[in-house]
Amino acid sequence: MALPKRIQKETERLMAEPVPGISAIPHEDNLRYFDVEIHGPSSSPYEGGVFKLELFLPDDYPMTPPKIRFLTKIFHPNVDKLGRICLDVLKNNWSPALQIRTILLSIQALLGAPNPDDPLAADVAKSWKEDEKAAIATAKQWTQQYAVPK
Amino acid sequence: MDFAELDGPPSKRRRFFSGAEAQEDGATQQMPLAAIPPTSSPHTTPRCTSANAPPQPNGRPGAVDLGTNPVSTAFDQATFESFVGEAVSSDIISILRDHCGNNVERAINLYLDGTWRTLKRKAPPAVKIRPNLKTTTQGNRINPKASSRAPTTFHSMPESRYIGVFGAEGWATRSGSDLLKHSDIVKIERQKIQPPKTKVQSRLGAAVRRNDVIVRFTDRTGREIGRLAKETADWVSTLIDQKICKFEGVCVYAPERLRTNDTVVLQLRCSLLRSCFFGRDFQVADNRDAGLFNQGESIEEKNLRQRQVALVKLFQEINLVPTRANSAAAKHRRQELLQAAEMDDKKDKEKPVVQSRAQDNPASSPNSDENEDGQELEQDQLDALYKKAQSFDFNTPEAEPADTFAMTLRPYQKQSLYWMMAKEKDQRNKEREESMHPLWEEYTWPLKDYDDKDLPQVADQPVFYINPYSGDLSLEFPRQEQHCLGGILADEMGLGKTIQMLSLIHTHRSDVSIQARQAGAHQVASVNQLPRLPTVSGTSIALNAPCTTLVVAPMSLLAQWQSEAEKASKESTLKSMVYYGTEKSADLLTLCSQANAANAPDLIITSYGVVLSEFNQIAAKGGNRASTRGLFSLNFFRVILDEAHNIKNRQAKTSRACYEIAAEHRWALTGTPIVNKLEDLFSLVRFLRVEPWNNFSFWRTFITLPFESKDFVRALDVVQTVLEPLVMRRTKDMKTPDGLPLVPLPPKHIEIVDIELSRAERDVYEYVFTRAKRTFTANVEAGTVMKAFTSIFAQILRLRQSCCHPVLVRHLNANVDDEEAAAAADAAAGLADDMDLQSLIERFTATTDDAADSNAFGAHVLNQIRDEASNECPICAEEPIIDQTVTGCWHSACKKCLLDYIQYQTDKNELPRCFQCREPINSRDLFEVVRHDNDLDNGKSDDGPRITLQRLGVNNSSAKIVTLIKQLRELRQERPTIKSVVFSQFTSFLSFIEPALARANMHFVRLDGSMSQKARAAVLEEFKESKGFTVLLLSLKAGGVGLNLTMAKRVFMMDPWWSFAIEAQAIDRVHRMGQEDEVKVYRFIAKDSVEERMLRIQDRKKFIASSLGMMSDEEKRVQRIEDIRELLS
Repeated sequence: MALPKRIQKETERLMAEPVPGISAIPHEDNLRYFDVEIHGPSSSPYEGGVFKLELFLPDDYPMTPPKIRFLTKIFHPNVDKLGRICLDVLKNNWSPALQIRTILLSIQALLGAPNPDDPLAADVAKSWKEDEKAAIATAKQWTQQYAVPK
Repeated sequence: MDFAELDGPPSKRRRFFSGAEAQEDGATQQMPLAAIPPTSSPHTTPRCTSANAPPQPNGRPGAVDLGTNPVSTAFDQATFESFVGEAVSSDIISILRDHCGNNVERAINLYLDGTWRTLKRKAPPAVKIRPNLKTTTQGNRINPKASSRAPTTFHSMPESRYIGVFGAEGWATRSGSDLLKHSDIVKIERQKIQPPKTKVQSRLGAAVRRNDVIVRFTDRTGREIGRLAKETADWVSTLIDQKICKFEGVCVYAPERLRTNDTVVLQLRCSLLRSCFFGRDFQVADNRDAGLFNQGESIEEKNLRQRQVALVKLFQEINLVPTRANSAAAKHRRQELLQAAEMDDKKDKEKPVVQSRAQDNPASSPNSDENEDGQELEQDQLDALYKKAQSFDFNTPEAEPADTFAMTLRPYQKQSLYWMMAKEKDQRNKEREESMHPLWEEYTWPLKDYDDKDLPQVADQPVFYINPYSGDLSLEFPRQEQHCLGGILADEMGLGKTIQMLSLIHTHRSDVSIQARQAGAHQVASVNQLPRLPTVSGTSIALNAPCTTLVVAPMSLLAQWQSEAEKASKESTLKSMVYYGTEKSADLLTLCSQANAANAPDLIITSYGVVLSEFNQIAAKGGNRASTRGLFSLNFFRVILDEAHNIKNRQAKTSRACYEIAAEHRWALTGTPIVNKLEDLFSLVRFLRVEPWNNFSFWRTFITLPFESKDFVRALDVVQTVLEPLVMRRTKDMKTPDGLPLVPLPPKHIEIVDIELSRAERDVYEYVFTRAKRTFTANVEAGTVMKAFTSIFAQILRLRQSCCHPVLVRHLNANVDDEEAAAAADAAAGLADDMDLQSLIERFTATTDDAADSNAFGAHVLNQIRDEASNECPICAEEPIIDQTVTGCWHSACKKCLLDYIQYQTDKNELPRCFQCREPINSRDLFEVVRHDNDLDNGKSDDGPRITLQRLGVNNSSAKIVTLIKQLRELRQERPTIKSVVFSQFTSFLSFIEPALARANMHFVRLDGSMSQKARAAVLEEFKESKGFTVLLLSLKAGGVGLNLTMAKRVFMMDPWWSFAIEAQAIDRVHRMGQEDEVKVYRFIAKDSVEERMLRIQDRKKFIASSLGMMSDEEKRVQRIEDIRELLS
């Protein structure tokens, strides 16, 4: 199936005008499959980390949202240990007017503002709620351990 | 004048044959030849014993009798006896033989009226020479070589020459005894005298009032004895007045005691005067050219008519029939001629005042087409005429254009170049046999006179010619030729008339022009080398402009002519100038004169308006051509009238102005030499100065009047004769002998557009389909298919309609272009009562009040929406948005994206929400944005194009209509002035398309079978003239044949017909000769429907015989049942 115009255009734009701290590069053999890197936002526990994600655009994109998950281990209440992300715009609040770029920005924002009230990883959320400082420290440590390029 | 004395009793005469009255009664001297016209002497015929016998053409003795049909039966005793019914003694026979001139008719008359008794065996004639000093000096010197036109050779024809004799009645104006007796010679005189005071005054008085026609006869002393009866005098007077004939009378019978008003029987002997053969040309020429500024019926023209009538009557009376004439029998023609003349007379009486005013005041004539006379041609007559006129000979040689001509000519254009060169150089087609002019008739001069004596002859002049239509006489063979060094190029539009003329301008230059070119700037030519036209106006002579071609064209085409001329010419090989407006100040007289040959423009382009205004100026100055130093001061090398039908009204001033343009070669270009009247053609002929047709009364007599009296065939035949040598006409439909079109057609692409029926449409379709199938199957099982044919067929029809628009199914009186329409309507009534179907269709008819909506939106909203259109669609990223559609919260996306998204959400049982603001979307609150950027009414908005919102679903009623509008929109974006034709076989479907087009603000016109011919013509004219994007809605039946729609470039076939041949024919209305662009055809076919299956049927058969009318109704039905079986499978 030919690549829809929308995907072409999004890809081109991601290349031409990359968002600071975010990169998304399609696979040559599957243009619907993107390797994504998101820099952890400054003054967040994830600062300094570069998180790898995989992003896949299903056939009925943009009717359905892209499928996206963290590849890099991350300690975040809205990301489970398989890397799945709990984000409304990736679920019910998806709209075809949203794009890869906006979704990735949302994820970047999510890193800066974890929402333990709507958790995906229940254990992480619990520790976040009970001892936020310890949780942030863990997050920082995980970032150092898994996300900082060596 | 002297006459032979004749005495003897008058014999009672009865006419058994008209020729018999030539019999002479003067028997007492046994020398019946005594009384003869005293006009010439008989030097060339020794047998002729009379001094006064006129010369005679040749020496075939006895072959032709006077005044009788030359082919009448020769005398033979058996025939004679069987005719008179008794044996006749040999004495009598021999007397008759001597006196009958070998003519059995005469012999019978002689016998039966007893004249033979007074005759005896012919004795050697007593020579009794009475020299006639007046005429013999000239009458006998014959110079066969001399042209009769040259004044120096007048004597080749005697002063007068006998042509025949006839009987006439007169009445005495005098009483007395022995005033007149048998065989007395009387003089026939035309002299105005006081109306006689007799009891017949009233009868004569009437004649006098109208016209003085009195012809009196006098005895030798000049004493008036009586007058000719009016019916004879009417025309005899004309012949005498106009110096055509002279008459001599011999008294055949007069009462011994003559009393006033007694009837006198005379024999009139008629001789044609030499003068009637000459001088006539000048007279006619004067007549024709007389009026630079004065036209209309004149006294001359009236004289002409009288002369014509008189001559015809004379020939009838003396029973001289043509030895050669074209086609129709002479007698028949004569009657018509007389009728024609009488019709004219009547008209004269009806409106003499009007006519005279028109004569007196040329300025009152209209400039335009008002007050045209003449009857309009019916279309089929016009077709027939054109068909005849355009029998183009593809074997015409080709001519190569001069090397200064920069364009390439097609073969047919080279052929016309050859033809035009030949016309200009007057190279007659040598192969063509010299044929007699169709209007002329040939007559043999009588060999014998009324007394059966040989007449003197004139060598090389055995015959003379008369044109009974004009009254012209000639001694020369009237060859059919046209002196006009030009013609009419009447190719249909699009065949390159302009280019052909330009090639002629390049290829045929005048000698002066060629010399001037060779010699550079030096002046070479001398005036004497130039052919000159005769003076056109009496007042002044136009100066030769030997290098210049004048083009007169409508103002709008001036620039086009100039640019074409430049394109067609290699650099600096053709100097052209537009003579119009400010440039008019140029002094043409000097510029184009021969002295300036090297620098004279080759081409001057001007408008009809300029011609007219200069004409008026000259008219105001009394016709002094040189006074303006403009167009009329010159005698151009060539004049070309473009769109020459501009001068179709011969009375319009523009036409008259054009007639007066002086030029050596005259051409008229027009695709329609006859717009709707034969008179249209006259004006062209008049402009071209084609003799003799440029004489209007001539034209009238011969063409208009026969035509008006319903003798179409003849009138058109003559027109053809006029046109044939004069007109070159090719049509776009013509094929070369190899079957190739003259101009190859541009390509044509046919594309099938699959139409996806909407869910709701499909519901209706399925419903109708199931019903139809059930009916069909039931009937098949019951074996009643043929009986139920109408009903089944109607259901199929409904099925096909449901592919177009579901509501059509319910239309009770659907106006269907189908032979089964009536039946269909009946069956449809059954469908209409069906409640289920009703509810299905209801969805399509729910009314929406969207008109109010679109005005309720705030302007800023609209502006915002309008600006958003150029963005990309947020869903599919198309840029700009396709079919921009907005939600109730004013967010834009492509229509398809939006609908798909709503559908997607609905399928997931979610409430549809806006893709932008996530507001719930009410699917009734979707609006399509209608842009008016290409509309005709645009132009007032300065802040971008106007838009309106259209509630979605309103024209969504039919997938075909939606697709059509969508395609037309795209088309309009791409080609803002293109024209399209939309065909459907259902006129009711056209009625649904109309409002959709109106909503999309597309200009459309409609043509269907319910319209009158006039209304159709108006529609086509509007479609043709429209300058912008225009759609023609056309019913397949009404528009399938004949129409020329080459102005359209796109064809939409909304529904398939059983046979593609019919559709192809419709497509060919657009894709035919004259089409200059690629034609795209879109066939709308509903997917997964009977329409697709119909396509398969079309493919299988390629054509159905039924559509060609080769099958009976029954066979058609069987055929259709088969089709239906397949459709419902």
